[in-house]
Amino acid sequence: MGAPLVTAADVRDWDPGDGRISTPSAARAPARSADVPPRPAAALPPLAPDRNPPMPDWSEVIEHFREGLIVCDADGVVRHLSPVAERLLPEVTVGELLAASGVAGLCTPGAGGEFGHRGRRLRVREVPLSAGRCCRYVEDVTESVARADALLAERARSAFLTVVGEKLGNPLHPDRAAAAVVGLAVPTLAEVAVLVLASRSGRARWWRATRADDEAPNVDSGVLNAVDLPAALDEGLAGVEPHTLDWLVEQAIEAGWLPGLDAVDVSVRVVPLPGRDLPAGALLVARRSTRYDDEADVGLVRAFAARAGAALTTAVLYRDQAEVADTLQASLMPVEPAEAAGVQWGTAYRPAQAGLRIGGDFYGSYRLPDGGSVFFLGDVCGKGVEAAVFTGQLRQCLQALHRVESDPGRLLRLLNDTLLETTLAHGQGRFATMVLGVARPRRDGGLTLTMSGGGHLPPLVLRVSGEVEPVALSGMLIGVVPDPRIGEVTVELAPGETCLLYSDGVTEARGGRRGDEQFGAERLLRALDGCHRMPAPALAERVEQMTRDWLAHGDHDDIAVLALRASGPHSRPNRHLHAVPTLPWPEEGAGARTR
Amino acid sequence: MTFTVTYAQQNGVGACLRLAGELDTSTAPELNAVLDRLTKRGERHLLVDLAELTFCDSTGIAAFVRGDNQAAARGGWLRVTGATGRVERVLRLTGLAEVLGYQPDTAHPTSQSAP
Repeated sequence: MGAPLVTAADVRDWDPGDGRISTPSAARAPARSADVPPRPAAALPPLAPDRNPPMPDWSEVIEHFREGLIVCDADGVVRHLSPVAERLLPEVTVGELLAASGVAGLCTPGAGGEFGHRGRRLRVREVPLSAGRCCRYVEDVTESVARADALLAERARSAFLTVVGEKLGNPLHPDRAAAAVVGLAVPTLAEVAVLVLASRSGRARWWRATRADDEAPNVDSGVLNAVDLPAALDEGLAGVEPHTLDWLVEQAIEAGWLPGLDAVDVSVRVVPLPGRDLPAGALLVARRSTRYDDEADVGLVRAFAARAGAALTTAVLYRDQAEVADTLQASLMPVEPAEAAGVQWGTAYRPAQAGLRIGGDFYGSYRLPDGGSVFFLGDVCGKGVEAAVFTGQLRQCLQALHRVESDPGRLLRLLNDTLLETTLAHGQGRFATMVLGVARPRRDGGLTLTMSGGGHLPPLVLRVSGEVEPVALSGMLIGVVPDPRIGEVTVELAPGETCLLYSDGVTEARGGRRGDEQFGAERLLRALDGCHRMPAPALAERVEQMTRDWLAHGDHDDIAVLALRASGPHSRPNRHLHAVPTLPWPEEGAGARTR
Repeated sequence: MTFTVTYAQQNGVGACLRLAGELDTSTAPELNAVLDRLTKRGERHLLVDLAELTFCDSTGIAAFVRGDNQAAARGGWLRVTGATGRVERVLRLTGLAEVLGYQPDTAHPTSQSAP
């Protein structure tokens, strides 16, 4: 680039008003150089007389003021009136007393010197002049006040929406979210706000908030049959904002939602609350003071509805997911063993992820047609949901297979083949360790247990003598190889004797004094010493309690315990039947015998 | 809880892995990753030395079973050897010692399928 044509220094002294820019002249330029006084009057060559600056004609200047001027003399008589003042205040006349104009605001203006006059907002300031005279400057501030008001209103609206956003937050419960929505709408948006949720199975629930003076709004709720919903809300729930505004009031009154409000002076609006596909609900707002005509006002109601809709949608979504999770969870929880003659069952279950309530340990029992029971306890590899789902499959397999095979060894092999087939199909090594047995009552009140082992910890037997015997039962994991070696054993339980099955969560619990010591089989054996008289439920609970006491910290594997006690010849009716009041049916035990 | 996998090529048998420390939910993914890498590389025979392994839970067992299944899909196998103490007991209890226990003659392709 070459040298700049004009530098900043050149420009600084230029007077754009003297015409030099439009007609640059080399001859004139030196006249304005730095060593010449800036006031040109004397130094400049004389100009034509008409170029001389004229004396200002003040009245002409004043005419172009935005403010109107009213000059009064010491007696308060108007002596001068500028055209603007004349236009703003036609009542004021020159030569008459200002007070006679009847414009009260001129003499005693309100706060900030403002007063309303002929639909305009005027601001007046009074300035004393010499000789007791006085000038009033009158400005029309209608537009700027309106702009300021609009700004303030907009600020209030966004502040309100911010509060709404914070208060609605991330609600996890649709009912609480609905109550919060109507509560927030009053009093800012309405005197009465009614929220109707999208109907579920033909019923629509509604929440209503009404203003209670100086207090939190009153919130109540109810249910309507979907067919009884006012038509306007039907429209709202379909995602349409009703157009026929007049009928809204009647519909709301008919629904009984506007107690104490008169149809004549109430303004009502209905807006949909946006949801995922269809609206989550519809909001009806009603108030007396100002109608919902202003576009900004209606916009605020819509913006509020958008936030409320988002909050409700989240809450509904969460509720639906929680319901699904609960249902699935319930189906994966171990089912308590079926009542069976001669057997007293005891169980304990503590999943590693307590919040989940399900895990990789499982137990259960099914009654056999011959009066015996199949029972099982086991552990699948892994923890948590994935493991729990596998235990569910396992239990379903057993439930089906025990109907075709009641010999424990053959049943376990069948299960092995079934699992092997499904796990191979899914390409992942899924397997379980388990003990599976059949308990058959003996005439003397004892039990004969035939058990098969699939690579699980061998059961323990608590004899009447107080001895605790490990059962010699071995075998291979279920679901790993075709034709696994399955251990089989028969154990006789005399009345009062107990067989205890448990998962490795018990023996591998880490804790103790050092914090990382395993509970171990030896310690379990010693701990069971003297427990042989305990009822099965108490024994199972005790084993779980001991394990928990041993655990140093919360982290542990799934824990499952299943105890079977030979309940003896005289304890046939089970505990649950005792709890039921005697019914006038002839044979209480008949049902149990025919099973 | 520490766990390490050391890899050593062994002539005649295939890849040999030496495990040390505790094998459980938190460390099994590491073993799975190594086994996956070896299988992908075409190693058909994996020998896992457990002499220095002090603990093994069901996820560890699962890793062995999974490794064997993957190797078997390519006509190979995974075998464990040298287990002592608790690890040996777990393998015996679960019957896995019979399935995955290394017998020197399982190296011969003819006896692969024998448990």
